[in-house]
Amino acid sequence: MKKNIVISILLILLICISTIMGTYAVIINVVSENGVDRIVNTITIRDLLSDDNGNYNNTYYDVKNELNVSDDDMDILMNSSYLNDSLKIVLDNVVSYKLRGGNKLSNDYIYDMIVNDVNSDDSIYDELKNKVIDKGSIYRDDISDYVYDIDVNLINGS
Amino acid sequence: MLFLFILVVVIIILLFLFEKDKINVLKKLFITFIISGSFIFIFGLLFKLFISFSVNSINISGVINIIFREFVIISIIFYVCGIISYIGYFLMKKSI
Repeated sequence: MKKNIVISILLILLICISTIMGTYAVIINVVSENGVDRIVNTITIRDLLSDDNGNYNNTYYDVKNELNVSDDDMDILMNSSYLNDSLKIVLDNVVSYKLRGGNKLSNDYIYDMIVNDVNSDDSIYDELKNKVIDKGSIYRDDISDYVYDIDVNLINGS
Repeated sequence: MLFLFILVVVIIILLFLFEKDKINVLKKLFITFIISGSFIFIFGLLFKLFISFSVNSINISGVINIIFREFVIISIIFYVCGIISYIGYFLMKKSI
């Protein structure tokens, strides 16, 4: 009888510890450098400008109004592989800076990246290119502060 | 993590020591692993739901799916361990 109680307690303990171990393994995997990189690589401009249902968010309309462009033009910008690749570089740096320490990307660096991207992307027509570059130059001095204001935390709070 | 793993091994050894019918431990391990795997899967689902309800401003379904996949992989590992335990139990019981 006593033995049965001990065995039952051991089994409950085993279930609890195994569950904690499994969940902890997921956390370790996700917050590892490789895990963070994988997450950053899945985020696109469209993800940042829409919600889970695919509806555009306020940032989308802010950008659209600021650039004074149509939905089709916004589609062109959101689909730009050059801009999406640069977003990954910026996000990767923001995460590295916030979690591991390091150097921020400067305003000029980010602005130049945007200018190079829109100039390199043939799908963006000249008028749209100029709008992006002109508006970008207005906010040039605030780009870095805006980007690095993003709140980034590890699950364990460090 | 290593501490938890050692703890699991110690508990399994204790189970073998306390249980009269040693083969029965394998059946109990099968149940344990299946329950743990199910709990981990449920935690993954709860995590997915919690994040989906908490973050509405941007589309993070891609990110959530990556993390949920990790939960599913770990729970599958537990299910496989459970099934192996049961096969061991079944074969040993049959051979007696």
